[in-house]
Amino acid sequence: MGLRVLQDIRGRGFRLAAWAVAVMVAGLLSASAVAEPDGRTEAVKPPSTEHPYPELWSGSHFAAESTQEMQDDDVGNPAMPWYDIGEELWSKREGEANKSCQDCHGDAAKSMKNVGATYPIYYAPWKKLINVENRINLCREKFMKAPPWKYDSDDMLAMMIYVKNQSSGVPVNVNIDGPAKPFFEKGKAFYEQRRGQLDFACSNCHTKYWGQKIRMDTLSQGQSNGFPTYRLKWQKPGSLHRRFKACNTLVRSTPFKAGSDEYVNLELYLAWRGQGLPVETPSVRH
Amino acid sequence: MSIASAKGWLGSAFASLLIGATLVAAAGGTAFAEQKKKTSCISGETAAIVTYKVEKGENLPAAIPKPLNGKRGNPKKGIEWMVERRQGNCIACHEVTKIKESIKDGDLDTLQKYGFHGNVAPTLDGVAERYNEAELRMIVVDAKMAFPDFDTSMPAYHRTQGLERVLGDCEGLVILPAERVEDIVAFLTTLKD
Repeated sequence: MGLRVLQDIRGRGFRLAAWAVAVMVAGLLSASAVAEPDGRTEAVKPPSTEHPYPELWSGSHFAAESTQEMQDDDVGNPAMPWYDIGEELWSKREGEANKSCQDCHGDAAKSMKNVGATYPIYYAPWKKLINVENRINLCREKFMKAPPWKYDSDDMLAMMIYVKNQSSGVPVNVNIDGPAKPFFEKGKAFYEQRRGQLDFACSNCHTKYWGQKIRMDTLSQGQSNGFPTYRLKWQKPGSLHRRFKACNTLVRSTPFKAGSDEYVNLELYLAWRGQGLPVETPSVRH
Repeated sequence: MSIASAKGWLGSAFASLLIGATLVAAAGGTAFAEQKKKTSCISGETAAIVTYKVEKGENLPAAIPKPLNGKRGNPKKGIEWMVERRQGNCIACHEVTKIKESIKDGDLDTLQKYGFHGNVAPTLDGVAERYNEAELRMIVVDAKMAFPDFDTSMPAYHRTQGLERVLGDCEGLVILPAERVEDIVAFLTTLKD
């Protein structure tokens, strides 16, 4: 838009004025870049002073530089094969209804633009929250008449990465009020419940001690803005709920099922803890 | 029994007790009965709880004066349990300078085993100056009882009650058996300065 203004002015022969505008536009652009920190090199401000963190840092802030570079490289990001499959699946007609995602949702770049930043949401027909995975399966079963995908199957991960990547760079902005409120509170209670033989709550590590060391690992804030993430330890992408299961098992507690109400409620609470962090899907982590 | 009610119960128990009086914590016959069918936890070993007596400490509201299994442990073994990830894994959170002395120059194996101490918890250097043996035993057995007013993250290494949704294989078992708790306590009492 700035360029068009510039050309109009040039066309009228106001060269000096054009340069002045160009300088102003450049100034505004750099100012807006400063105003939107990435959560990696610069902390994001929390939405309120009552937020559990004084400053928000994405998991990539705590990752090694080589891992950050891997994530930023559109070709070298190891999750890209899943993105490509997701893109293909988007327009693939399936099920008895012989429909594709695209048939209803059109261009994902437009229709899915904010999905990755706003889910989970309250879904009235279910009278509870729905996250993107469960929403995808709802569409498959109800509208495509196709079988649902397993939670961490390659197809589901591919579609998740493709869909959430459409929100890349969009600040997380979940709604925790209205009918979502009681589910948010349940997620919060889960986060603060000590569990397992080791008797740790999520908060015991991620609220109190982020940035400090457990052995050689730096504890992150446990933010969810990069999921599904390509985890080097897993050698493939994994869902947020897979990470929850791993965390629960680590403290020697019986995990819940991926996609369960408990984990979807936690997912909303966790998203709010990172409210304002830009979506990074697919991120790369250790 | 929830943690909250356990704390409340302990609080009122302490309030009503005279110094020197004892209360018996933990352990019934059930732990031993269940042990037979459960042969592995994360650590791959069975570890049933033993009965112990809690008294008031000098520096802490709770202390366990007598060794859990009746005899004092081996401090050298204690170091091993403290560094092993599936045992105490104490250095995940605590820095202990004396343990770093076991790192051989240029040797990756000993560096990985005895090095890379975390820093989310206080250093254990000089811990024996701050607490006596009975208190150190209490802290290892159940730090939440040792520090009732501080929301400590430290796991209770010898407790089975008041835990939420414990992984099936670990249910009813303790993290560290009595003998290993004593080995660790024996090492901790050497940490003066």
